[in-house]
Amino acid sequence: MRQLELRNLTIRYGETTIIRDLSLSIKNGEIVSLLGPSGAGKTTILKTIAGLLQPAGGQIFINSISVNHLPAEKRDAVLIFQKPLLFPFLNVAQNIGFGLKMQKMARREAERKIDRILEITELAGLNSRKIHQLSGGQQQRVALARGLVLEPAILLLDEPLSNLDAELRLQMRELIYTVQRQTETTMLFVTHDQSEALAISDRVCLLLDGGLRQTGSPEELFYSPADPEVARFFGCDNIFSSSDSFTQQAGNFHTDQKLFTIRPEDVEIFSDQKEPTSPRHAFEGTVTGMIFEGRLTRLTVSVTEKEHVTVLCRRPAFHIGQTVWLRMPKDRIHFFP
Amino acid sequence: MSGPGRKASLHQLVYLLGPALTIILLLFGGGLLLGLFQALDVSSATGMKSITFDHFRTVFTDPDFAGSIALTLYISLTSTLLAASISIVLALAIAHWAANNRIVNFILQIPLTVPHLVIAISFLLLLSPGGIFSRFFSFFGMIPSPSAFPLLVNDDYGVSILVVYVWKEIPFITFMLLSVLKNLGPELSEVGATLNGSRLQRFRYITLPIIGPSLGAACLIVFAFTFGAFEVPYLLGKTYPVSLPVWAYKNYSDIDLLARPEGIAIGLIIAATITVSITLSQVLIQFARKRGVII
Repeated sequence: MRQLELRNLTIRYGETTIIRDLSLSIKNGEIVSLLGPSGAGKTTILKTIAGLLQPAGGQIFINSISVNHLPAEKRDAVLIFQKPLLFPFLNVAQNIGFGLKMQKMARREAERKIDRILEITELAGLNSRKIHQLSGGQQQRVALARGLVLEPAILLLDEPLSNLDAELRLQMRELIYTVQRQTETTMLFVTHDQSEALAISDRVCLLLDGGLRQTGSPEELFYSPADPEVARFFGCDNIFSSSDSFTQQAGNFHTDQKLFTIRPEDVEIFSDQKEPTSPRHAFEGTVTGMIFEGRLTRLTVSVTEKEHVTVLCRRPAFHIGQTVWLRMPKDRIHFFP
Repeated sequence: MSGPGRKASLHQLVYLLGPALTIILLLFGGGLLLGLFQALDVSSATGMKSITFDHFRTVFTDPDFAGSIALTLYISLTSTLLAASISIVLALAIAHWAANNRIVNFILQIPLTVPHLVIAISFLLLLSPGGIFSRFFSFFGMIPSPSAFPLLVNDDYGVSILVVYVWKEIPFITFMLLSVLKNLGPELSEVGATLNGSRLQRFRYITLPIIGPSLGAACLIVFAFTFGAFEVPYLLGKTYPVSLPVWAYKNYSDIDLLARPEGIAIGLIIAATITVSITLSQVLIQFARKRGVII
């Protein structure tokens, strides 16, 4: 069953079209990431689904029911904002139970649901804690619990990790994943962070230039990008043509497809021409750039005056100006459709 | 600013505000103290030997006291409640549609700049039985004579007094609420909407608790002012019963000097009520800050 379906959704701010003809469907119990650069309109899409903004065109279905005409409070969708936005005058349990109170749920039933969700979100024992006494991570967990407790058809998460530091972000990401698996809540997770999207999602939708550029599994988007722009979004600058002089030198690009890509971490680099297992396909270059990024080092290898290959490797024993040999394993090369 | 910087500036503040505060304390506090001495019958001639609460007792047991305090409370409570109700609607509307509209802000500031006395006299000239409106309506045959104009000044219900106070206090309360609503933004209400809160529920369970402390504080300040204000009920009120400030003034300015301590006693009762109201308003503001509501 499709929990959420967007059909040709178009959103405008005044005369400017932010989103054009966007179609997307999310199945029951699925977690889908809407990934895109800042300003791409991700939050706008979530607000439109939640009923806080009106679309200029298209239809929104939640639980197979068209909700375009329904106000936010009547839609079975809860939006978790970037900031926790907790009610400062209520304690933790009251914040979590706010939606249940709006639904006029019996107190005992509401308390039972709140206790359960406090356990799931690792907030047990904090029921009567004031909001200002909570850490940033705890506040975001309360915001998540406040949405989950309503068991909505779809939970919309608008970059809920962006205000947290790196370690907390990782913990919270794992918590969202675990909670989603436990509760089987359908989630649409908006982020600009590709690693977040890849780690958490069943499917990823990449939003570029006001439309969905590619939708698929995290592996599909990462290893088989639909076009050079998608590849670049996932940090792959190695966009080449089979007619490039150095690829001719490497050989074996006998295909009609012109443009191809290879991930920087898949390019093999050697300091000696004899090192490659298949030296016939290796080609020469000079290290012209080296950026230490922590776990990996990003090398720029110039293979001709205008052609450069980016290589990611661990603890490289190279230096700028050094002559190196590169090899692109055939099974790692992706030709754009 | 860092901690030591703050301490230094606090030190400077004492020097900067000291002279002004001294004058206020001397004139205001001194006046109150002198008044208290007179109300308690402590004078330089009799010394501290004969402290008495007789004047307060006389005021409290005066048959006019109940009527006067009832009228004063009626005026201050009704005008405060009316101004607060209108201000809530106005502040919400402005925050939603015209938060940064300079014209709306300018119009709203006008009543703040007009003194109470000026608007009270204007009302007297406009709305009294011999005023401009009554003669205008009579001239155009809408009423048979100016005396047929409904009694809006010096009337039983203090209509004109209430209108003056409501007109004057709406901008004050509205600006107090607007500062909270502008800081608040629309996000909390949006959260409430996605958590199934209807418009009315959002107002009741989100907006009201957020603006509550500021609203309460503003209302207490307005109540304190209207409870102690003299000129409007003096000009626009009826002659009997009179409000507490008018009664205090009449006693104080009576040709019978023996009525003066009673006038001062009434003034001190008013001052005590105002002090309690202002203190409560500050308590509410501190309470709001503790809850994380920015005022």
